[in-house]
Amino acid sequence: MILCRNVVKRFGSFTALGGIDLDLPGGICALLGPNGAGKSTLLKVLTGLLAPDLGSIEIAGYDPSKDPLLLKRSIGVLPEDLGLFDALTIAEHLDLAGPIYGLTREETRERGDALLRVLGIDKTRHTFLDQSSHGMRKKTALAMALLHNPRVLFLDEPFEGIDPVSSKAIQDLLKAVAARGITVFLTSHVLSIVDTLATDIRMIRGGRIVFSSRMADVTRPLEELYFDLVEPPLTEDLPWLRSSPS
Amino acid sequence: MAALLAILAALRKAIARDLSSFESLKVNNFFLFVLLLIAGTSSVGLPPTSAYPFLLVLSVLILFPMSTDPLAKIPPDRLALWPLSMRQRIALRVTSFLLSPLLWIMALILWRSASLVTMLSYLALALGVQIASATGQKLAGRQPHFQLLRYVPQVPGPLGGLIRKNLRQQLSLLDPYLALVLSIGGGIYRFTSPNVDPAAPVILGLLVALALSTYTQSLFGLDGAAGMTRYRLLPLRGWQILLAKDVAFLVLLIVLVVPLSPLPGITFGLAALAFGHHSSVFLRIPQRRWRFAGGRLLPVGALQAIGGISLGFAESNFGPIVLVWTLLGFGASLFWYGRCWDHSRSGPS
Repeated sequence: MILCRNVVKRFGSFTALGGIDLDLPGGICALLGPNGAGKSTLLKVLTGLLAPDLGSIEIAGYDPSKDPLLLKRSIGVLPEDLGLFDALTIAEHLDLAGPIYGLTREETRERGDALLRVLGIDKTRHTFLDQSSHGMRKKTALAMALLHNPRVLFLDEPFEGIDPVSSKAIQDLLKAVAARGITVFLTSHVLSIVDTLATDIRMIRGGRIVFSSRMADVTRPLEELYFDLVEPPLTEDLPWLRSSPS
Repeated sequence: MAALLAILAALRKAIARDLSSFESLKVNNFFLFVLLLIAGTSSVGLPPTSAYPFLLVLSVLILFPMSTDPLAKIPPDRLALWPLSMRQRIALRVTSFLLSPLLWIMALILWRSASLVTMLSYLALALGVQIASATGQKLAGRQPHFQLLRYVPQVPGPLGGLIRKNLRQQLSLLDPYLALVLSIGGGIYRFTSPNVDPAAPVILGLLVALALSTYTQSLFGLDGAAGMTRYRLLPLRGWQILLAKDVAFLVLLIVLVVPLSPLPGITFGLAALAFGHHSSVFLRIPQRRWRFAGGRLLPVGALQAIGGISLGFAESNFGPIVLVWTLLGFGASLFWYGRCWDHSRSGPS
């Protein structure tokens, strides 16, 4: 479902992705890495938001550069900036997206209602986005990604800013869709969630994949592996924080 | 004292940035027209009385975003958390008013007009607007679901959701309200005046279209980076995305020119869209809500104003064939810049 070979993306002299290879036939793959490692850039390249400078990509059988519309119909994306409009309410975002993806108004309403209920934002459905909390905005973008029942899901930090109950609901939802054969590719900093949710894991540092494994084959604790391979914890002492408050 | 000065310095910067957003006026097609009107009459030694009604409308509309409390620029929770004494808070409240742009406007009016009545009237109006604005914000705070723009109805069809959003965005600029004032004023004149100049409805219709036209230079100016991401994720062709913008603009334009002279106004609108597609697709001209739209004078602003007015007058002289040709030109622009959008936004670089 997600196949890419030697994907390179540069911004001027800075190489954001330095030759990424991925081959994910299904399941839930988590991409871990520190801020600025290239996680969001990789997601943008895979979803056609950015064109790679080098390499080949195939998502759900489509090349983003040759079949952009077919690709867009096949994928659901929770982008880094959420991709929402302040001039619309939560429910209106789903009303907007449904017909564009070929759903009837009834299908859109039915699926939208169910998604809003599962994500716990049905009571705030008429709130404009500029009056919504970050968590509500993220859930709206997630509902938009799921509405048209995509074949591949790309989620950039889906659990950041989400309350525990909704986080659990989203995890259950992702497990259910993955069990139906939908490939889920997500980035996250919440290692405890990744530990229980992901079936595959990739770690990225400096635009290169430094660790790649099926989750079942990982024998060491994820946190320990992450600190070893990606970035060790910072240890700088801040003495003024140890002194008595003024 | 240091804390107070730091806050005031931050406020001054925020207000200066806010004022700089009014630079959009310099490149608003309608404001350019008013400036040309003033320059034209002044060059022959006449007072620019013909520009006064337009200046009055502009100055009243500008009051709404400008007459806000400068202290409101600090998030209330942040202000409450800062360790300031009651005396410091009162001092901050008093001195922040000195930073109010309204005071500077008043000083300017006093200095320029030297008319006490004008100054007092404007002050009263500003106070009224500020009270109304504060009351409205309080009411809106109690009823977060209350928003007039909510009542823009759902439009049928696959692009309906986008068209509704685009209509709401356009209605959050000041340009449509300027056009509305002109439309209502022109309509009253047309239907109540015993001796209507036959050319007046055409001219007024074109002025309404001109007042709306700057927005067409930056159709995506209110979508922001997140909105652009969503556009690039939606399975739509470039021409469909542009069409959803254009339909919203034309709906508003048609409603506003109907009481005047619809066909010349629509012809102007189609020409403005055809010329504006280039800058909308290739340039980033961000817009701010509750401000006048800002654009580029050259070449697109000049092309829109001159081309739109010429074609509008041609339509009124030679009939709907001019509108048909303009529609064809608009269609060609939509198709071409739709392709440009497809290649520049979602294709390989």
